[in-house]
Amino acid sequence: MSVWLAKNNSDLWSSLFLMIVSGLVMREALDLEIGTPTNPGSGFMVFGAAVALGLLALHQFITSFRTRPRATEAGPQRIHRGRILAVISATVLYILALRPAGYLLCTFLLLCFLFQVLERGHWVARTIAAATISSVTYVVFAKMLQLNLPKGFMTLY
Amino acid sequence: MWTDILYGFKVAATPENLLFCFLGVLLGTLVGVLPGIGPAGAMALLLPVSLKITPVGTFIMLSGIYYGSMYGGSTTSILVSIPGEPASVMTCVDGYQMALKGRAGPALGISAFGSFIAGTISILALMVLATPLAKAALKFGPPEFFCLVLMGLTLVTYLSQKPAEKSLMSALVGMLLSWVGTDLINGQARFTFDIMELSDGIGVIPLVMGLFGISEVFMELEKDTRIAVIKTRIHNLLPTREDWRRCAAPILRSSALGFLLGILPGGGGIIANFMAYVMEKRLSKHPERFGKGEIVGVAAPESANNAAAAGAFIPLLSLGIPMNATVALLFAALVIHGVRPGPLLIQNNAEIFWGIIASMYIGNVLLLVLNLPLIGLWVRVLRIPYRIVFPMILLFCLIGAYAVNVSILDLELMLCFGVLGYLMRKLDFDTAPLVLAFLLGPMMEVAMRQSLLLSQGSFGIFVTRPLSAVCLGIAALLLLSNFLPAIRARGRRLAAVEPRV
Repeated sequence: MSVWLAKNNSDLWSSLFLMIVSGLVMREALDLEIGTPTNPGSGFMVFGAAVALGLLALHQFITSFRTRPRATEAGPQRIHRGRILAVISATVLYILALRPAGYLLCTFLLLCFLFQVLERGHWVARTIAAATISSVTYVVFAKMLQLNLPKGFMTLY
Repeated sequence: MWTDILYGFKVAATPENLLFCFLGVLLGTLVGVLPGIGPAGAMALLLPVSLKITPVGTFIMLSGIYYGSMYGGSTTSILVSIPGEPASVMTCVDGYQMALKGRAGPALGISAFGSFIAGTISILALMVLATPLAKAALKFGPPEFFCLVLMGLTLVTYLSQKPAEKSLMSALVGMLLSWVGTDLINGQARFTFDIMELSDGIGVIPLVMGLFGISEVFMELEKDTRIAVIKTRIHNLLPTREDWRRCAAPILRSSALGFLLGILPGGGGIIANFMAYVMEKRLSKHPERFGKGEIVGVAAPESANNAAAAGAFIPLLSLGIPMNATVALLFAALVIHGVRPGPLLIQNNAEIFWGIIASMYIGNVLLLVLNLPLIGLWVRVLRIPYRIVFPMILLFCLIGAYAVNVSILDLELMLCFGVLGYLMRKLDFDTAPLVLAFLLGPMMEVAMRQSLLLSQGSFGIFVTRPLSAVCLGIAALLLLSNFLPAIRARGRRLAAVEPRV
């Protein structure tokens, strides 16, 4: 049972999620107006695609119960899921702070954090690397390539 | 045709375009060498920067990344036994064995020469085939385009390395995402949730950067990536006369095979690399040598993946249909610049069409120069610590996604697509059909609705026209072949359970 849960649940949950998505899209397509074959509306193709998605997801859902569980392979490598969650959280904070705090400060802090998460080394080296990369990328992208990067508090100067 | 190609060389040989060609093949080799980031990811990163460049320069540079990565991938395969990018998987088998036996030099040499020969042959074929195909495509109407795109998408899901059912779902999700925004025909807003920025639809840059760039970073973050480069002296890069004698025919055969597989939807370098290896092993008088450091086992797959890279340009340039995810990014780059790839490209944008073909000749020569004398440099690149590489990829994705529209929403979307891409990979879904369907979805919808308007609501229009009927038939067969084994297996199971009377 535990093996079944571990292996087949991914298909089960993904198909359930896709069935819900398909249902919501179908409802939205009906609101958009499907039209008729002579005069197809905005929801015509959307509805068709959502029905096809729903049917395929249903098929996968049923199959996930019938498929015999495969034995989980014990890989030699450790999986660092915590790292991914940490990087996602840091990126969310970066996106939220980018406009108010500006590119330079946000990027410097993000890089310091990423270097710390990926491999712990000497903090001075990490800080110098983060400061150098954020400054160089700012000069290259904002000054040389004229891309619009937020200045944040630097606009005060 | 020769005047056209001369015109192409005139376009490609300007100092500016030569620089873009050089940058493209250099970056392509770099991403090919570095496992983790593929050509699609690198192209996605450069899309925003390409807005500052001319359409010809953009296309020359991004194409250079595509075929350059095929060259670079072999270096990692031979020296580390990790494919730098998926289209070099089979090169690992004999390439690494050759390196262990102290023949890393000839392995790298034959892979570079094989790639050069295959690349040149397939560019010639591209030049010859693309123009007549584009002329034929001018006669296509909306029903033909709809069925052709449908067939292409079905083939992509059929040839995907992931389960076909999941690839189909992936393509359908891509289509639904492509319809977010204003309806192209009647101007009605769809799935915009009253967000003004979504009225133009979801941007291709956040989508591809998230699915290819960010998700790749997440995939690599979850494991400990340490690369052990084989400690061997790389010398004698030039293959011997005996090596050439044994490899000449396999290089030519694999070039032809790779080119044909490249034209097919979803084909690309991965299948070509694998098929060429299998073909040569079957044809060899000494199949037992394969897997133990056979030089043909390096020359054939490397030639095939380069030929496939050029072959993939045919449907893009002549029909306007990208057949794999990397080429889909070239399509996206042209669309961003307001250039519509397709049958009219040769007429309306001759400088792009002939310029890119000429630049591929130049790029192939540059790649030979970059890959042989600079091999030591690429070995050093392999030793760059990943704690530097991954934060940089993430940072470039963030800069790129933000800078195009100066939009925080694009950053949020990119992160969401990054998480989606990561989950898709973990759950065994293929991301390539999603991207292809996203790019082709609007074209498909317009073609479908126009066809129905033309036929006054009759779906018969798709089966009464010969080309659309053939494409639809192929698509139906592919779909059935995906599901028939499951249906047959179910029948067998039921028959086994039912009591016999």
